[in-house]
Amino acid sequence: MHTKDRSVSHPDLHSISWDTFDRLAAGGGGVSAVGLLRTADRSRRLLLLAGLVDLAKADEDVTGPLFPAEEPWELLVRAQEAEPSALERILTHPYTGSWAGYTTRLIERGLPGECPLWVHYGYFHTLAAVAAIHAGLEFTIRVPVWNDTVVLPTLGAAHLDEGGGFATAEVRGAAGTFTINGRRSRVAPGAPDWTPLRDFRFEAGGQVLHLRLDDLDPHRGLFHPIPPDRLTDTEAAHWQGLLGEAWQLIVEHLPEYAEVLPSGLTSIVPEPAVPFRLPSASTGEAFGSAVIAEPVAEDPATLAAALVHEFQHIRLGGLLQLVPLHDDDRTERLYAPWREDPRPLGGLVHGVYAFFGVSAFWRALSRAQPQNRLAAFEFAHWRAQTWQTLETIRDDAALTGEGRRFLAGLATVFGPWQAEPAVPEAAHWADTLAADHLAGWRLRHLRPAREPAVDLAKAWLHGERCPQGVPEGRLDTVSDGEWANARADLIRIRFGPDGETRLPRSWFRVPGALEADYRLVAGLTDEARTGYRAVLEQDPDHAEALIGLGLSLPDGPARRALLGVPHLVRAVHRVLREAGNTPAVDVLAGWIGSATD
Amino acid sequence: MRSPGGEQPGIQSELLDLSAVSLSELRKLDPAVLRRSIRHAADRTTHIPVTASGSGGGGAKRVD
Repeated sequence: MHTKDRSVSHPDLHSISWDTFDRLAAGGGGVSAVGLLRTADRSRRLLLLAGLVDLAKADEDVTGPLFPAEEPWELLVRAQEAEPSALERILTHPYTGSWAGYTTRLIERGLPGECPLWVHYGYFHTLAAVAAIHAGLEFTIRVPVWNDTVVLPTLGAAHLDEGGGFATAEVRGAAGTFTINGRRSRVAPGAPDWTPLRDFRFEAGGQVLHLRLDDLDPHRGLFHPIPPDRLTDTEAAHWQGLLGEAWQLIVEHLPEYAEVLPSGLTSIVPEPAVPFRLPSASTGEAFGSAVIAEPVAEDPATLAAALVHEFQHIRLGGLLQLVPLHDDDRTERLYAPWREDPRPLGGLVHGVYAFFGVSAFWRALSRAQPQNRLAAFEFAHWRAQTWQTLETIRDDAALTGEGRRFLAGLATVFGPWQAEPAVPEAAHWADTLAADHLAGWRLRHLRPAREPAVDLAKAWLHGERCPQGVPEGRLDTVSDGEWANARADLIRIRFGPDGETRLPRSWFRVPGALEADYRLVAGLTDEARTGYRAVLEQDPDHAEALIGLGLSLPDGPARRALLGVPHLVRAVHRVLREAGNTPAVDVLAGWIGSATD
Repeated sequence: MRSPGGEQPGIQSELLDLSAVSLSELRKLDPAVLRRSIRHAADRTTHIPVTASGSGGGGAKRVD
């Protein structure tokens, strides 16, 4: 950061050196780079806060029954003067950023919120209360109550008895203690109706990670405020244990990330478990936060990968506040191997950076644990899929010069990984999953025009050779059918702990899994093929079975068509069925595939 | 923003650096500069930059 002129009346604009920019692109930059991004995000939040005060001054309805916006602002001023770290506590709180963005959108665009506007705006008043508490001030401020709950960000939640709905309460503080006073009820810390947030400290190899498990803050979600969803003590202990194990893995195997991750990831929002998966999410408005589904006990490595993944999103989100890497076109036009839907360029840039980090984690783990089949598979899978995506977008016309430089810098580090030896089994299944996903995406998002499909059906009915030149499909962002992605889950079960015994015992619990999927992943290819054919005889449109049949076939025209143009095979088959002709899907696919040599 | 390459020392953003500005001083900044900077920050809230994924789950529900 360049601070040529720090005079108060003429502050500089934030800037980033090319050296730091290039280091971030390559996955480096250390604590100083993350600190720079955090400092920039702090300025962004402060500007939004100042803007929100101005908006409320112009329209007192914004604050409704709460104190006017000048009151919490002045309380923040007092808190900073008494104890500067008190202000920093709330400015660096991830959800201060989410709230500021959300509330700015509500007011500026006149959008309806989840609650009355003053309730949303009043998060500001709770932030001021928290800062004042930490500064040890004597103060009183009115805050919103939503369904009998007052959340004090970073501290906890009070459950009042005010009859539900929307109301106000007063937070009264002195010397660091406080009470929350409604009309009919009163709560103080330590009381049964006070729920403190859980803060964890993890230490491994001398590296310390502080994480808050935030199940209370209304702005911990991704898009709009949500009510508290308190974990039980048992659930929290489960999280604590797994996060500790995941941190241990990161410290041990990815020390360069262990050094910087604590400065960029400070809060975890727990979500309910998703069977056989670990979805996670973050928003560029909440620097420092990741939303993660409850992990399974036997797989801390996947949680570690998720932490690295979200940290990468956080870093890139921070950088994008300073440097546009692409234009603002959000047209969903590109294939992402980690998504079910077409994505805009910006989504792919984010994904590439995140999965670059994920690849780094699995690469390190697979090197340290050569017997770890899951690590070998994940590394083979993500390095190939991420690289392919990077190659697709690195010259996209919508990238800025900085964007091209960023991806080129990333490629400099990432490229050599592609040539590293891979376990043949891992490489094989990585290729299989890549083909599976791409074919599934084509089947659901490419729409062949009716006329060419009819022409092909006529040629078929006349016993002609399939005409050369397979027609292109039209991209449609709406998926044609659901997408279970069960084979990806099954592959991970097979390569996970006790996978060979777990797979036959648990495949049927994987949502959407066919028995043929299980057989395919178990290596019983002939049985899988028979199973897919049986499913397609009952339902020739069955998406998973169509792709599965393609995966189970030997190399040849039918496999080529089912994996390359499955949308066309299905479209022609539909036309033929309308004409009363129902060929076997793989026979028709072989005919179409013969034209794609 | 300066273009990449050449001899420029770095990339300058449009974001005002408030790291050395106290809250009480913030209100005393040049109103035009402050207004412009607030507008820049507010304009960037139009799009919610959400990324959602499943780094261990393969065909994740969402990755942005």
